[in-house]
Amino acid sequence: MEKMYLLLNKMKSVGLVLGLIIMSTLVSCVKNPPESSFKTTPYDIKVPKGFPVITYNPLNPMTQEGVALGRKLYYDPILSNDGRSCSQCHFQANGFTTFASNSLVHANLAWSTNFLWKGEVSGTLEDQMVFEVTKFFSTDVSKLNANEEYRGLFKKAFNITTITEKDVAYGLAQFFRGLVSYNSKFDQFSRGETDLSPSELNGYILFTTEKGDCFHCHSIPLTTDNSFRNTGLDSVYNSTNWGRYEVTHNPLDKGKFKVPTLRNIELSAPYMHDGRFATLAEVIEHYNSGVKISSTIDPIMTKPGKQYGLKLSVQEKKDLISFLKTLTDTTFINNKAFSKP
Amino acid sequence: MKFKLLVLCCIVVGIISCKKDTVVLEPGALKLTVKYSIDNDSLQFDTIKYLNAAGNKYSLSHLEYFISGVTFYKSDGSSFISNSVFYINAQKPISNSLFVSNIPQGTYSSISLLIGLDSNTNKTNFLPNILDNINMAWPDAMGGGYHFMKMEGYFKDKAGVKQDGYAMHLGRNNNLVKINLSYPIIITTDLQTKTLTMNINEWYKNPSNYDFETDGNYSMGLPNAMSKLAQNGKDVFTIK
Repeated sequence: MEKMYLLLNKMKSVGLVLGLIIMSTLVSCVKNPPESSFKTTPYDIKVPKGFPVITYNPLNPMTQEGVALGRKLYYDPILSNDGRSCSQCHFQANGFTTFASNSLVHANLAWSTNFLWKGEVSGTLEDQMVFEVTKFFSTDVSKLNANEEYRGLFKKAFNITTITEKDVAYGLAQFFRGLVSYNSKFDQFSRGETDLSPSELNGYILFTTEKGDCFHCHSIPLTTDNSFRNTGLDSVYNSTNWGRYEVTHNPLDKGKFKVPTLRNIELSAPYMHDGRFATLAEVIEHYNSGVKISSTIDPIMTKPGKQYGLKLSVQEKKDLISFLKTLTDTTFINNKAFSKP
Repeated sequence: MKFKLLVLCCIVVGIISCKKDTVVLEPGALKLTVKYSIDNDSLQFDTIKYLNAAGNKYSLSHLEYFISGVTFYKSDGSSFISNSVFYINAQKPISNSLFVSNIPQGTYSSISLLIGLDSNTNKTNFLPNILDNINMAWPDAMGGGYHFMKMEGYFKDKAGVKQDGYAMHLGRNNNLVKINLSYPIIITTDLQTKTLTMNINEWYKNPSNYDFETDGNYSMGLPNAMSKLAQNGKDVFTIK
């Protein structure tokens, strides 16, 4: 009898539990909206060791579909009305710039908050790409809307049927954010995977000490601090070299330009905002002996000894160039995931 | 039997947690708003109009630094050290509001803080890998860790003819600046706001005048210049 009672009790408990499970399932079923057929695959950027965290744009989460769309757009003159595409001036083999222009390279822009030489755009990559689509290319979205393949790609990436300028910009922004360069010889050295040659190592020491004093602006590992600086290229300013002043109209910004990344610098000649130097040796010589003083020159450029040059020896100049060449990332420039689809 | 044991356990746990609730007070917090002055003037960036004790006429164009180790002392000798590290850029208003939290309630007789990072924190890549911290890095080739401060601007030579830049950078453990503020404060759960004012001219005097022309217009890697600045820094802040 007693056993019967216990069994009954157990059954009651089991029943109660089962009831609860059924009820909760019902409740959750009611709460959940009907499942959408729109699904994307997240795109994961592996942030290399020692690199800063990436601030993503919550309005434009990275997806495989979005990056694939952006990649196709990057190489397609459909973006413009005159045959231009991003890839026309930004060759992967040159670290995403060309020998023919002084365009900034497209690498590690996921960490950038100021864009273009004069900082015409500040904010996110999406803001920059809206500028490219609406101002630089004046993209005619009706051409994309009339293109069946693009309609399909935009539907896959953003679940939309009508393509707007914003959607084009967001697709491009995803591809740009994925262009991460982190496997140069210097990166491998930083991760303890390889050694630098004595000349490269000496160049690295010159780069990161007061002797060369490159690191204050080209901070490691991104080799840019995102700031605007006047590095003494000129002492007189006019509409050809106003730089940041053109954007801010602040006289203190005359002659200031964005500190560029030095990633793949060996491949991205000519140098400076106006491409005035053809070789790295000329760039080093400018910092060594050619700095011109003006009221907006960066305070860091006017240190004693520096005002009249770094006083680098022939060997030291060679060493600095050796180090700069360790920033060449062949994995990046040969990465098929970034090439023309 | 098992059920009785369970009930007993619940009661015991209940009593213990009740006891705790009545003894431990919720911690308080303090908001510090950082402001800048040059003696009696308020700071205006990018104008060469300020005069330091050595007679240099100068401007400030850039100022960023770390504050850490904010400590509250009681008159009985006990103290509470906050583990927060604050990165401050004088030109970014949001970074000039410091929330020091989890301070035990009570009456404190003084506060101290560090400009820079203590030796446990001042190590390469120790701080979270965000751009502000990375841009403050002190290269390994110069000893590693972080810049405690970067203060830059322009000055005119004493003849008033030649303009030059200056870069007062501070780093390395022996140049950590400790500031003691004799300031009684009662911490409760009501958030209080106090103002910390940095008088820029204090970096250049007391105990030793710093002269851009003779001590150097940059300090990084120059032990004497950095040491002079660090010693002068002991009273750059006042609180009210």
